[in-house]
Amino acid sequence: MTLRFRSAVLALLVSAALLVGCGDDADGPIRLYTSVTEGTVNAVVELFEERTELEVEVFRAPTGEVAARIAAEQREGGIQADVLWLTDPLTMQQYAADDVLQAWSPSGADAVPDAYATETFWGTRILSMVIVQGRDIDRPLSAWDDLTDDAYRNAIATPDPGFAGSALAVLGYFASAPEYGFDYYEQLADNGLVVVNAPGEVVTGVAEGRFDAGITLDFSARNAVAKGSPIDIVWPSSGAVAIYSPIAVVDGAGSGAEQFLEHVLTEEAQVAIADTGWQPIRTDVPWDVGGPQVSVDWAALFDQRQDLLDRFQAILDG
Amino acid sequence: MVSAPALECRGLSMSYNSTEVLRGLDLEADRGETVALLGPSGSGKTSLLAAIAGFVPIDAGSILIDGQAVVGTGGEQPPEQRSVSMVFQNYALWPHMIAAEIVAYPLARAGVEKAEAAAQAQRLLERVGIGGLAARYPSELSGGQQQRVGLARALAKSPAVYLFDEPTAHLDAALRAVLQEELIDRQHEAGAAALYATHDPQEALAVADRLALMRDGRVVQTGPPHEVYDQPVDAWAARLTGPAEVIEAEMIERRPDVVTLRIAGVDVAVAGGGADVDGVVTAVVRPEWASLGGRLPGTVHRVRYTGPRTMVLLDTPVGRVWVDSAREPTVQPGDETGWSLERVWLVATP
Amino acid sequence: MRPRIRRPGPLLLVLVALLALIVFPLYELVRGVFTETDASVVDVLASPALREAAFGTLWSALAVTALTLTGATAAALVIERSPRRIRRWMRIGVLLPLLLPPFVSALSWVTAYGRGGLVDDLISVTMPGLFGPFGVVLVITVNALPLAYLVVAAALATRADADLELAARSAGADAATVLRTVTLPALRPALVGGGALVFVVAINAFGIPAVLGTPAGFTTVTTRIYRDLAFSADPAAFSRVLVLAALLVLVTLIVVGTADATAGSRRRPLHRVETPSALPATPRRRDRIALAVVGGYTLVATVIPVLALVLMALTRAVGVTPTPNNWTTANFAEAWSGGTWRAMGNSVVISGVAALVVLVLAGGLILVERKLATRPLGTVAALSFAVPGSALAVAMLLAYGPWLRDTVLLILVAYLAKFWALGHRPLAGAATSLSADVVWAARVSGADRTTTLRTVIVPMLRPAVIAAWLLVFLFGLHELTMSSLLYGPDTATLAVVTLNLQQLGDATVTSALAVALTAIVALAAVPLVWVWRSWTRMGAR
Repeated sequence: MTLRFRSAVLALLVSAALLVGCGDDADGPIRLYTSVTEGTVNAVVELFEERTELEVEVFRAPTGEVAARIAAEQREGGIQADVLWLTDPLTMQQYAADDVLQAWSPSGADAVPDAYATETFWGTRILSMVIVQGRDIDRPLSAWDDLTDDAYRNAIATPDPGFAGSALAVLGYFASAPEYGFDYYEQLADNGLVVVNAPGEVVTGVAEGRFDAGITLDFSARNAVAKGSPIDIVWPSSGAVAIYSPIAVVDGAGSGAEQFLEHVLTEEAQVAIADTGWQPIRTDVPWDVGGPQVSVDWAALFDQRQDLLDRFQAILDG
Repeated sequence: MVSAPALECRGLSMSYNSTEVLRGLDLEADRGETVALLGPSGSGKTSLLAAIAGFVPIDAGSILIDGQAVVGTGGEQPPEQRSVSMVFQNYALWPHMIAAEIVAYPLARAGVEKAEAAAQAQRLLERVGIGGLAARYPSELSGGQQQRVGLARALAKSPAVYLFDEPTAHLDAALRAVLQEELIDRQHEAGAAALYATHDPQEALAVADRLALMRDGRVVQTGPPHEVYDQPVDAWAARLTGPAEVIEAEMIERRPDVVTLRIAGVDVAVAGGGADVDGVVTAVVRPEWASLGGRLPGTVHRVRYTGPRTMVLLDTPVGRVWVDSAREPTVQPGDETGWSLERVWLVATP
Repeated sequence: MRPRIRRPGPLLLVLVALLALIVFPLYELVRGVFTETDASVVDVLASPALREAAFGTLWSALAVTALTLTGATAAALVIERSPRRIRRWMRIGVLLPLLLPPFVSALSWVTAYGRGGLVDDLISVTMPGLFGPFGVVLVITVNALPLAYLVVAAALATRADADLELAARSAGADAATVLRTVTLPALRPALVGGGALVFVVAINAFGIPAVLGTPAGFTTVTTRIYRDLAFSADPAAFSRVLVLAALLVLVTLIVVGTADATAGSRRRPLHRVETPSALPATPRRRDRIALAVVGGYTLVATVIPVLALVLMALTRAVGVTPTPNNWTTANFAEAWSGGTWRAMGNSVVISGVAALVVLVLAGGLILVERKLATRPLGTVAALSFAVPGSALAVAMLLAYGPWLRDTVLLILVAYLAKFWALGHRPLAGAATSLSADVVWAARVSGADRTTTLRTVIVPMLRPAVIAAWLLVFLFGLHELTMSSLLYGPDTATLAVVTLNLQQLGDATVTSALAVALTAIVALAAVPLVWVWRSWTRMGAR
């Protein structure tokens, strides 16, 4: 009965649909869900559309929002996306575990270093998580441990792991690194850690003087420095946390989706990624890394995403 | 050939929300004649006007305007095709038009060319004395000025019948007089009839060539104003048309235009007539038909001084009577005084 | 008066629309609470995080209501009783925030009074507690004040005209007693109604707590719903969303219902007073003080924040001084790259179409109300405006998500449900001025049905129709709460894009977009002012 009512209501709405004009069909464009920066996505998609004349429909949002959308679609009968291009491997691994990703061997995958490849998803670029500090603060920082220093009480910011994939990855790194662990976050919380949404907000806050320093993407900080914001990038002495940004094809998405994934791994697309400010995954594309990088044993963290988020929330809720 | 009356209503019946508002009403209005419809609210005055104008369908009967059936056998003419103008109680001016546009509206509908319509509208507005306010919106006009615009709009159409729905309500006395004069002048020269609904007897008497009293959807009495005033069909009609009291008396003798009545034991012969009954009769007494001083006994109950005259309310053995006396008050409450009667009108005992 | 043939068209339209837009989605929401929640409702409600959100929402809404009512009443008493020449300017000052989308307002306060903000740059003063409950309450109050002001000022004109107070003064009451015993009691229905309105607005607030509350850990039900729905893939989060949404609806219904019952709105004013008639001229000194206070408020609440936002939008980078040598238009260029044009198209099309359909629905509702001479249908539609956007959006997702997800239709349907009552108000007002007499006057003047429609009915309703359309259009452009929960790959609205940009943290580009959005809203508001003018000249209100 409910169903019949629904269809009646739907019929009513169809007339409105004609007015607004919306197209949505199965053979339509490739649907890409991504949390990658807009400029980068646009550059890569433009190249692809020029080359193949296939059309790509992009839903771009922060990681948390992409994840929430996919969860909602799963609740309602299946992922609508053809390609997922995310910021961190932990979020992607969820979908691999759910068996919604296609296992295959794309051409060009051999150019991706083994540490950044699985059977279902492959790295496309590297993100470095670094420290950003205000130019005029009294005591400059040099290492992750400095963030727990009492001198910066209530003036240290981090992006939200529930919102930004990069922050989630950093959380994973610290949680699994023997010298840090969750104790590190306990100390940060005790020191009055402020959680904002995105890495960019950390940079803005530091530039405005709202915070003395914070954890952020070197990409965001570099852009602000280039524009003239009074901030400095601090490459942690132990090394920036390197995160790879993975891409995958949703099972049953078709050849267009596969072509797009392969396209992202081509040298041409990798150059475009580098041109928009990101370290490319292909080592044959030139890139000047700002300092040492530490990598994370992602495989060890793969089933812990929700657990990490819950424990983080618990620590901050006190 | 005798020309047909401007308006003729025969056996009109109409109901609204299953209440009968008109019950077999008959009414006629000749060219040049103003018929005042006098009745309390709810008596069906507005319903009758709405039926004539064609706003509301009737259940039975017929309406002829200029001798032509506009409703009845052979369908119903819509309002815009009837030769009727209406002045509304609440003005009903269109808020989005200026006065000149409102007055020109009926002319435009009749196909009058635009410039000519504007000129005529201006002349009409001048005629009602507000030529200088032609560019104002209704919200920028006083109540009296709005009424004049409404009147000018009605005049613009030159119909066979003008309908006035209590049009002078909300207006001060001076303006009423001005408007009434204007109505009477115009409507005589256009050779049209006017139906003027009101609940104010003084206004009705002043305006009307013929007065029609309405009650419960029927016309209960019609005739020249003075006749209706002097010879009411019953106590209700008497009170509707002006101040009136009824007393009980015994019929002694009846001659043409003179009756002898025994009132409180005193026999008096007075002018008048009315219902042909014997024994105990009910007599209408208007204040100006009685005067102080005389053989009839009474006690002063109240004295009301109104300037040109003084009204005295008497307690008498046959009921209370208002007596009209010229000049300043000569009696005080509590005084015993005699009074006399010059005229009565006999009605059926209720 | 005419017993016409009953045409069932409007009634059918209204009933189907009520069912489809309001009854069915809310039914699905309630059903969802019981079928799609894993944990029991009680467990969800008992979790500390939710209790905190519910408590935070409730007390902040109450605080906003109290502050707004006090402020609006004081402002109305001062401004409406001032001489005409300064009254106009003071009114504009108080009503100005109406043009700012709430979250833009919050952004502007941050750029003005936050650390490193304009005022900090100039005189090294920042507003303590701007981030957190204090700031949230303050900025919502500034945003809600115009609405309360309009309600109180209207009541002041119709119910508490100055003569009533003069009568009380001559009866022996001093000024304070008059306020207590005459003015405020006369305003009571308006204060209760206005209070309910402000409470609903406050509980509905999303953009302001999202910008000012979330970074400080101050959660409201709306930001919690947003977070759980938009940023969490956790199934438990969805249960929370449903329970919270249902809770919001419940609280709103209770508040609005109680206000309705106690307002005693049946006590109608005796008459409408055109101008304060026997009002004695106010002393010059009082006028100057009033002007200074209202001017100061406008400066602090609106002018400085907007100025700060514009400066930020013009400045090369965050943290550099907003002096001309650091100015650039690059932020605007960047703001308008990518999907922004499309988002603007979405905003305009969805809002425009929603406004059109709302006109049809509101017209139908008016016809039905006139015919049946009953109000319950209208009340249902009015309640839908009170249902918080977050809850309505969740209900729409449940009801129509499976088919309409990712289409503009989903947002459109939500807008229709939310704004139906908004469009209904001005139309219903105009419809009452359209008495039978006015139509008959045209007919008896020789106009047939279609001519009457063309020359009288349509022109008389035109300002109301335009006003209703613009009002819904403006609210559509403003709207963030629902569209932020309902948008898909190609259906983001301009407000959503601005919010997303803000969350990514680039303050200069966000400011540029916020300034552009405000400019568009202001531009759309210009004809509204013009329509209002011609309307008041026509004498309809």
